[in-house]
Formats: sequence, structure tokens, C-alpha cells
Amino acid sequence: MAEHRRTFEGPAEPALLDAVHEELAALWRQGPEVGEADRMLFETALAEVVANVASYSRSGTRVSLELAVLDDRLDADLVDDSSALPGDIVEGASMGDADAEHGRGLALAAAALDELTYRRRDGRNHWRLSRLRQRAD
Amino acid sequence: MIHFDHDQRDEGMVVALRGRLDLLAANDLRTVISKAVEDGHRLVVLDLAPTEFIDSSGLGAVVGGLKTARQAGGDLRIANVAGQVELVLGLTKLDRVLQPYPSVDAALRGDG
Repeated sequence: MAEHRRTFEGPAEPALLDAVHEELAALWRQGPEVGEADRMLFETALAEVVANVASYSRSGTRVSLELAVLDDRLDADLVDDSSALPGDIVEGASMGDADAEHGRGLALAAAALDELTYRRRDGRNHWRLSRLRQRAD
Repeated sequence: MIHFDHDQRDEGMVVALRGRLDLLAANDLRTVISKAVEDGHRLVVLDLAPTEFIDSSGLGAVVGGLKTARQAGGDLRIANVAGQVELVLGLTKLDRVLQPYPSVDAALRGDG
């Protein structure tokens, strides 16, 4: 199976966002060609999860990220060592009211993906993002 | 990184957003819009043609700017929405409150 992976580690702070965009750009350059809509939506979702982690983690939190382009999907596994989050943080996410200025990030991420899960395991937060690739007809 | 390019027109202030409008840029955009409204511009047009990427924080800042402008008796409009920005506006359904205009001139005229 053709697949392409990249791994990355860094501190959970807003500047991590720039690094994640750069990692994705490198992944798209090096890996097999991925459709534009898939790239845009996956990047949208990943940026929201990273922004969430960067905004709400305790000081000194480290984040590790593994990105994978597979034949049928795009995956990201993000692990951080910050405090536990509510177990239903994804299920409880909503786009909110049209005039809300905050709080729709995880709902947007979920809408851009086929799978978004959060689990607390071994004292760490585990986020899994997966988007099935659209088939070019 | 984001850059704001200002273009003062008769009908209002046009601000082109060049780069990524995300968590890192959202507060800067709030400041730019507030300043334009405080300076007496009744209409602020955000030109999103050079905007590579937007996230929920960036969108929140645009929604906040819309409220700031309307509370002052003015308006905020967005123009040249495409690519990832268009996808995100659709997913969040915010294209209903932030109706995109096809060009800066159309936004200045209020002619969608």
C-alpha cells in the first residue's frame, strides 16, 4: 500500500500552528497527489485541533503529531501530555449561534472529517483525525 | 502570518487580508476593524482574495467585526471568497450572515 508519513513534535503554544501548516505543505509536496478539497478540509480540521490544544493546555505541554497519507484516507494522530479534557468534548461540540465569536472550532473540525475522536489514555490526550479521500472519477 | 493592506475609498475602508487569518491573527483583525469604525468609516470591506486560510478564530473575529460595525450604524462586508475560505464559510453556515460579494466594488456598492 502506498503511504507517506511525517512525524513532528513541539510545544503546545500558538506558534505550533505555523509549524503544522509547514508540515502539511511538506507532506503534500512529498507524498502522492491529494485532491485540493481533501487537502483544504484536512488542514482546516487539523489546525482547529492544534489551536484547541495550544489554547487550553497547561504550560510546558508537549505535542507529538503523526501525519499519514494513505490510499484511501488522510490520518493525523496527535498526543499531548496536558490535563484530561471532558470525555464528550467532540460529541458536545456545536457550531453555536451565527453571532458567536468563539467555540465552533471542534464542530468545524468534525464537519471537515469522517472521524474525530478524543481519548484519555496512559495519562495523555489522544486525538485521532481521519478523512476519507474523494475519488477522482 | 498576516498582513493588512488598507485602501481608503469614497464608500468605505477596504482591507485586504494577506496570509492566514487564524488564532494568531484574530486579535489583530479585531483591532484593525475597531480602528476603522472609530475613525468614522461606516463601511468596512474585507477583501479575502489573498487570504490563504481561515480558522474558527479568524471567522470569530470577522463576526465580531460585523457586530462592531453594525453597532456603530455601519456595516462590514466580505468579498472575493474562494477556496478554503469558501469551504469553511459553508461548513459553518456563516455564509448566511456574512454574505460574500463577488468583488470589492460589488461589496462597496452593496450589490451582491
